[in-house]
Amino acid sequence: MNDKPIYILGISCYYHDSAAVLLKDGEILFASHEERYTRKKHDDAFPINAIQHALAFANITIDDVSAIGFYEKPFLKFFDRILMTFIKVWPKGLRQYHLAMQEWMMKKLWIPHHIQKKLNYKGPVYFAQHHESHAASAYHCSGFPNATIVTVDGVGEWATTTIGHGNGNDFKLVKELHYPHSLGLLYSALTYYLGFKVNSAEYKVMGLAPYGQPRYMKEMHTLIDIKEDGSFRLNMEYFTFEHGLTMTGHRFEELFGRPRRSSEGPLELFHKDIARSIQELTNELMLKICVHAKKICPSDYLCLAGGVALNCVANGKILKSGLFKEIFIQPAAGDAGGALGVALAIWHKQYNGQQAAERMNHVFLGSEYPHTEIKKLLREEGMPFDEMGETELTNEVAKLLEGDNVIGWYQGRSEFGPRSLGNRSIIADARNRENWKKVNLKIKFRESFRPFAPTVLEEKASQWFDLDRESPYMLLVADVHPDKREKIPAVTHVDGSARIQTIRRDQNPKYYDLIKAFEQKTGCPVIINTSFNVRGEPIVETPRDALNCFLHTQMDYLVMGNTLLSKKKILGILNVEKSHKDYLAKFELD
Amino acid sequence: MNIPPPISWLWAMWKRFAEALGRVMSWIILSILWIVGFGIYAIVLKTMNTFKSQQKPISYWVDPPQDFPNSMKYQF
Repeated sequence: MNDKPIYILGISCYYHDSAAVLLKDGEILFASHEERYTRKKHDDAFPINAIQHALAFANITIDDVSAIGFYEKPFLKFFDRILMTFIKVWPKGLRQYHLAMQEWMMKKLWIPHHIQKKLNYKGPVYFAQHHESHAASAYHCSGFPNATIVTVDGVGEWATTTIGHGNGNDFKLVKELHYPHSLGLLYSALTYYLGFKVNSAEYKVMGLAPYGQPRYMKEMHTLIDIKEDGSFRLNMEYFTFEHGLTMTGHRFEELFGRPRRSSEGPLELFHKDIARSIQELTNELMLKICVHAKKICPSDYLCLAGGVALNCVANGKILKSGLFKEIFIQPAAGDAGGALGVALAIWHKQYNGQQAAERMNHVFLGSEYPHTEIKKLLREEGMPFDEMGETELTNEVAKLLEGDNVIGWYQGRSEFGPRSLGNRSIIADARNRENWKKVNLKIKFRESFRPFAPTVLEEKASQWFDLDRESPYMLLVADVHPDKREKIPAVTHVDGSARIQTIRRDQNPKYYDLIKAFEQKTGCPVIINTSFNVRGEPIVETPRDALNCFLHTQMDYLVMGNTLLSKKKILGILNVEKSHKDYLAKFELD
Repeated sequence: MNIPPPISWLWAMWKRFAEALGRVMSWIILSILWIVGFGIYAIVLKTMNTFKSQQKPISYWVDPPQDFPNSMKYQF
């Protein structure tokens, strides 16, 4: 019997959100996004840095890797969907055609060649269908013995939405909807119309929605024909993404009676109402899809993946409907999670791997930087810092959190997925209303309407929120109990909701202990948790990234490992007032 | 490629010219392909109403393509 461990590397790249995932005998050993290393948000380049870190983490070389998987099927995507679309829209689309042909001919059709050349790899390369990768990333991480599977995103090869059934070690996709009829692209089109960046800022539309009313449902239903079974078709007369380089055109603007909002332009009630309307439509449609999915693939359990599964408001509606006993949403639901999905699909299909009985318990799967490296950096930069034991540090930080101090919290391994969940976070007191404004405008330099998400001790969650289960990945929105809204105003959105992260000690002991200590001091088991970055910047990865972000913003304290830095002390000793403008200029606005 | 320094500038200029020429040639060839290849095929298919959608079916769900053995080994 061969006892050599089986390493499988999953890769996603060349569209957006490149990532690499390394499995060892079916267990996730390492997972990270390329953007964290290159500092280019949504970087789509071949994830060479993430791969190198994965191999270094596992202490192996590429020769130890048994198989590599790519998260979609490029030939199917190009020779079928892309070329057929050009033929369909001809004579429109010439510019898009030129750009696409050069990109595909020179890069995207050569995946095995790139893998072999860049990694010096000689083994087999496998390809899963795009939605198969999404489905695998959800089902095989869920711990469910069987499940209804729903994947919804912009587009893979042809599929934009799929329904499937998982049973035991395997799953099968049984129904799908095809491009251009895509809920993800519809949401992106409205994101574009509202002046935000496509494939980057859809969550801003979700955050804007509660400020408006659903006054444009009639117009929304002009854009899309929805059947009772959740299937739908877009009215392509209003969209230009099939043949153009924009999502919408004049006809779209005529429908709503206003031109597209320019990016960074003022946000008016109209825009908020549009955001609310598309969110209501998304909620309605996701629910219908799930109802139909349950009908044709019955199960008590639901697995969700695909970019649209990051829409936590819709997820919250699905949960509240009571359709399913348990729901699992892959935390890296977007294309980065495709790297995880293809690796798991290879493990199960090619190596007859068994379905894991346990659910994916955390996402701290990226790189870790030793304490010695942190201290070396601080000394090299001449930063005054205090070093403490864990308990002392936890108590000290809990004390500092009270009031209006905003603290950069940098610990352990970085998170996989778009959310910061306690290892690369900016934290603050949720009880202080002013922290909403301070963190938005003086630290993250982002739009003031955007809400902050809370982390709450799991055992106390139901006392503060209308939530009766765990939500460890910040993928569910639920209401803050009415009597608690005034107590945690900084994380209560205008409609009384919050995008919740629950935390248990076994998921992240240090982070849990901090919030526990804070609760013991204040009686409140809830803090603000937002990602450790400024607008347009990927979440910080290395200690140096964290230090730079800290120095160039108005954060008050930085905790890295067991070290604590105070901005006041640093400014007092070193006179290093850093310009945030220069820092922000490094990152393209999202 | 190891070019002796006295003429390495010439090599650099030649490469830049070749890249620019390649871009122009690609554009011309792709445009011809667009008009001739895609154009003819598009006209034929549109004439045959291939892209006309059905009259409002009961459901838009379709069956995914059939899987085949060892499908993961292939890019299609």
